[in-house]
Parts: sequence; structure tokens; C-alpha cells
Amino acid sequence: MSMRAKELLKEKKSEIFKLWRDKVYSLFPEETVRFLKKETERFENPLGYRLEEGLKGLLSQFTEEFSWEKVDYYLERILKIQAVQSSRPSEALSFLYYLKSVFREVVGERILEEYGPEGLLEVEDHIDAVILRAFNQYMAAREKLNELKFQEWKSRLFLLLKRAGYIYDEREGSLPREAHHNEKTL
Amino acid sequence: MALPKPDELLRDVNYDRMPAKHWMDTKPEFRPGAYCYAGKPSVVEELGLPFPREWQPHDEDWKLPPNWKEIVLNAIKDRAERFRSFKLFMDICVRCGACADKCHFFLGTGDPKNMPVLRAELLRSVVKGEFTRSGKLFGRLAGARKLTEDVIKEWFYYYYQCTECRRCSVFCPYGIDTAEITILAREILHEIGVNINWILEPVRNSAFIGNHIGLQPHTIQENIEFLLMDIEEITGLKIEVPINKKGAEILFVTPSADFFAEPGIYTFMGYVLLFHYLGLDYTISTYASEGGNFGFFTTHEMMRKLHAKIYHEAERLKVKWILGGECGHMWRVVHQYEDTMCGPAPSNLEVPKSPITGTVFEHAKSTKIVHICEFTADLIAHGKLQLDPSRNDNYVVTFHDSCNTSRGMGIFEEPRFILRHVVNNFYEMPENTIREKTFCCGSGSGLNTDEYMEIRMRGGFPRANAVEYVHEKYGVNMLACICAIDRAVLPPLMNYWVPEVQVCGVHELVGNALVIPGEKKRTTDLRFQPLKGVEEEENV
Ligand code: SF4
Ligand code: SF4
Repeated sequence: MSMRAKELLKEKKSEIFKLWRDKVYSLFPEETVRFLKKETERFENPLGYRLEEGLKGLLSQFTEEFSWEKVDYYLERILKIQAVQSSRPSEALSFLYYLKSVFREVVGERILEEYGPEGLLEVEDHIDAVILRAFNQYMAAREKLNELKFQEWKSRLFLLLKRAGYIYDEREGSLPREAHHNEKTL
Repeated sequence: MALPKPDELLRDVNYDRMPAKHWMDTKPEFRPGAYCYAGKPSVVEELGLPFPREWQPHDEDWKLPPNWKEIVLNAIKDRAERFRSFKLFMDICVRCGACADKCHFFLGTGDPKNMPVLRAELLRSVVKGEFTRSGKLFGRLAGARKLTEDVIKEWFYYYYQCTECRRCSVFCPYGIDTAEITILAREILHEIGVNINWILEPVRNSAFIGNHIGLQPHTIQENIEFLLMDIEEITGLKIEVPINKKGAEILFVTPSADFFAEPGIYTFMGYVLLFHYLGLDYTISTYASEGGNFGFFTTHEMMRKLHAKIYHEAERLKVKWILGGECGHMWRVVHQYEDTMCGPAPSNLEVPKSPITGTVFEHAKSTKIVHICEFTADLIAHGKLQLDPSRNDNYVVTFHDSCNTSRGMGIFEEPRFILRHVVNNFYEMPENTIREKTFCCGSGSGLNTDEYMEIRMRGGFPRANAVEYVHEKYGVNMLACICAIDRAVLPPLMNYWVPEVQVCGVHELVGNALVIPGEKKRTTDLRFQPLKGVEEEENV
């Protein structure tokens, strides 16, 4: 899957990234934005670090080779954050919608000039597809949150349930732990 | 041709989450996942706390008592007189900002009111606005404001979004401890009947029955017997646990979750194996069956009330000293308040002395309580334990310093010393996320309830982020800790952010490694997971 406008996007990559990040961060209050941008050391500023890592990673799918595997990886990392940060699903996914804006603002006209409407539509179709995929990740994270709540109750009452014979434990042949994880993340 | 700008449309889809306004003008949004439920009227009443009534934080009307304002202002005055620290902390902050980005709730939520400096300011501004002349005259210009119902709601929101972990205080040049401010703010809120059920229900159960979920003596005994059957299945050893035994040398007190919750029960099995190995003369009390003390998250008086039962039982059972299990805030209570509010220890208690090594625990001279990690580390240092760390070879372990035992009382080395002897694969998380700079689990101080899951996942993110790093780098798959709240809340935190990592207590790993005379060849660990190498052997 290759986009015609790839080279153009690549050329403007850092400008695109900065503008995109600013738009995404506009969801946070000013004091926070100052901090998020200040230093992105992985442990001192985990939120800033992970958001930047994710945005950069996704952007490079448009400027380098587009890979669904990598898209999923970065989407998952961002959407786990969004799933607990945002007050509504539309807000959680809006960072991708902003990408559309940024592409248009920074290179939209040039793409039209050089490749015509097809060139631009091609890029935007990719963003739409990524948004659909992001929805899967968002839902998986929300489902996971819900699962945590009942799993936590089961763990809290573990011995009482076990004594009552309600625990379907591994020795008796239930799914191993990892099976649940794989099931949930994709 | 000008291309349309889609983000203009987006403004209609989402409205701004946190519009640029002065902090005094923004209000918290009480949406599900971001607040804890209010105390049930029956629970509040039984505890003798003021103003039991039906209300919830998402209600417009909190049904505060008519003279709520007077009560709060008097409470502030009272605390300022009684607690020098409080008065000082209200005065001396220079707003240098050194603490601002050190709180896991700020790092995980990005909400500026979670900056410790601003968290304290929520109260400080009212102290100024209601009690100082400059504040009354200049209002907002002097950082002052009046006490209103919205302020009460904001306090509730943010003082229950602080886990009293004290990380901020490590970075403050003046040693301002925002946790103390939170403790007092919650205490003040209690006076007008603003509280949370997840704290009060365990307090009630502890006060009237003896432990957080109200396990009756026979249930505790049955649970322990059930675990002893598991132990027998794994080790072939028939072990007894002395319950309410008068005249035992040592009273052992641990968080009640170790009797029934996963993974606490494995830690409990570890203790039991260790005591059996040593032939220790100890007992467990079914009344002082809770190391945890949610009274500490309520009021100073409630903390003292709940703690008293441990000393009462030590007196009734005529033991010589007390050994405490892997608990977090139990130790903060012991360390910081035992000699003042909760003491003195009953006169039948003696300075704790290890019957195995003869070590006298001088530091516990007045409290008479020793932490099990101190006890076990001393045993290992004296070469008293035969250990086979390879039994833990399925695990690549890292250690989470619980706020209370690490920052609260300085237990850094003992658990690490133990871990190095009982496992072969141990790796530290990055330096700025452990020891006194450790990141909180995000659910401490009584916030470990399911309705609060979203905030917990945000507050715990900095911790999980550091675990993820060692998971990627060294293949860490086990997060060890010495706190029951951690054992309860780190599993969901891991499950969300780093699902490959499990959680255990340090003594679970001790129990696995301990080579006990008379035991059969072990094929599984305490979780019934096959030991490394065993499966292959069996398949040959
Ligand atoms: S005590 Fe902990 S949770 Fe509270 S403000 Fe300080 S760093 Fe944050
Ligand atoms: S570090 Fe201390 S003095 Fe500085 S802003 Fe924070 S609380 Fe105030």
C-alpha cells in the first residue's frame, strides 16, 4: 500500500508533527501542555512521552511504508490512554481527525497541484481506515476496563469462590491467562 | 482553492474538555469512573460519624447540613491550632513548582489541579480568603477565595484524587507534605458528612468484626484450613496454624486480604511455611485480623480506634511481641503514630527479639512491632534458611516500593535483600521510579474501588510505564511488593497496561524457595504452576 503523496508528506514531516501535536494537546489545559512538551523523558513525563511516540509512529506510516501491524501497535498505545482520559468516544478518536486537518493545512494544496484530487483522497482514505481501526482499539480498551472490575471482584473473593467450587481454575482445564489477553487486544 | 478545515467541525462534536479559564473558575465533572460513591447512611451512623444521609457526588444537591460553612471554618481553625505542620504548610509554600510534576495523578491525568502545589492551594486559598485581611481585601489577586459549596465539591474531587503517597514531599525544598494536607482535608470533610463508602465500610467491619470484609472467626479458620490443604498437596507437609492461642510468644498480624484474596493467599502460604520451618511459637488473632487501617484515611481518632485492637489482643493473648505481615499503611501508622497517638504498647510486651537468631530489634523498642521483611532478612543474613531460588525460575522479578513502607518508613533494603536470595532473576526499575521516588500504585489511601477504575488506571500509569520498561528490557513477568493494597490493585493495573506481568508478595517467593525438612519433591509453586524443568522432565 503506497500513497502517491508520500514524498511530499515526508518532506514536511516535522512541520506536520508539530502542528498535529499542538492540536491534539489543545484538549489539555495550558499548564499541562507546557509540561507535556517540556521534556519527554520516558519516566518523568510518561504521558507526553507516550503520546509523542504514538503520534510520531503513526505519522511515519504515512511518510514511510504503511503497515497495519505498526498502525495497530501505536493505536493501541495511544487508545489505552484515551480510553481512560477522554470523557467521550468522539474525543478519544479525534486525534486522528486532526491529522486530516493538519495534512490539508500543510500540504493539501500541493498534493492537489501535483497529484490532483486522487492524491488527496488517497491520503484521507487511509486516515479514515485508521480511524475505523482505532475504534476497535478503543472498544477493546473500554471492554478491558470493564473486565478489570469483575476480575477484581473475583480476585477479592477468590478463596470464598474457590471453596464454593465456583472457580474454574487452570488445573481443571480453563484457558491460561495469556489466552484472555490475546483475545482482548486484537 | 481553499480546502475546508475539518477541525472546525470537530469543535461541535467535542466541546473543549478543559477550557482556558482561571483555575478558580473550573469545576470538576463528576462522571462515572472519576469519583467514589458516598458513605451509606447506615454505615456512617453506626460509626457515629456526623450527618448520615442519602446522597451521591453526582447529585446537584449534596444535602449538606445548614450550618456546614460554620462547621468547616471551625474545623480549619481547630486543625491549625492542633497541627503545627498544617499551619506551617498553609503558610510557607513559595510556589517554586518543584513538586508540580511529581504527582502520579498529575502525570497520569494531565489535570493541573493534581499538581501538589495546586492541590494544597485548594485549601490554602480558602484559609486566606476567610481568615486573612489581605485575602478578604484583595481576593483572587492575593490567591484568596471564599468558601462555597462548589469549593466543597472540588475538595472532595481532588482530595480523593490524592493517595497520600508523599512523593511530592521528597522534592519540596521546604518539606511540605501535601499528603498531610489531604489527610486533614478529608478529616474536615467528614465533619459535614462528606465521605466515601469504600473507606467507611471497611472501617465499620474492622471496628465491629475485626477485618475489612467482616470475616467471622470461623470463616477465617476455615479459609486457613483450606490453604493448609493446598500446602499439603504441594509440599506433603501437614501444618497447623495456631489461632487465638494464649501465651504464644508472637502475635502475627497481617492484612485480612491475605486470608482470602488472590494473590494475597499465596503470600499467606509463604508466611505459614516459613513459621513452620522455624518452629515459631506464634498465633493469629481472629479479632485483630486486619493489618490494614482504613481509619487512617478517615480521621486521626478513627485510626487510633482501629489500631487499638492489635494492642488489646497482644495484651489478652499475653504475647511478648508482634510480628506484622506485608502491609502498607499499617506500617505508616506504626511508624508515624505508634509512639504518639496509638501508644503506649501494653506492658506485657517486651522488646522484640528473634528467637532464632537472637537479634534484638532495637528500633522497635517502644512499638514492639517488627516487619516480617526485617525478620526474614535477619534470618537470611544469619544463614538460617535453606533456600532454592531455582524454584522461582519461572519468574523474572522486579520490586515495587510501596509508598508507605518505603517513603513512609524507609524499608528499602530488606525486601531486596530477601528477593536476591530467593530468586535468580531480579531487575530494578529505573532509578527515578523506585525507593523514595517510587510511583504510587494509584489506588492507595482507600481508593481501590471498582467505580473509580478510570482514575486508578490514570494514576497508576507512571508506575505501569516503568514496569513495562523492565518487561521489555529484561522480560520481567512478576512484580513483587509488600503491601496488600498493592497486591489487590496492581493486578488490574498490570492487566490493563502490561498484561504479561503478574503480581506477588515477597513471602510467596520465600515460600516457594524454602527447602523444608520432610517435604516431598515439589513439582509446582504455591500457585500450582509447574516448576521450571518439571514439565520437561515428566515428558521425557
Ligand atoms: S501525596 Fe502523592 S498523590 Fe498526594 S499530591 Fe503528593 S504526590 Fe500527589
Ligand atoms: S515544592 Fe514545596 S514550596 Fe515549592 S511549590 Fe511545591 S509545596 Fe510549594
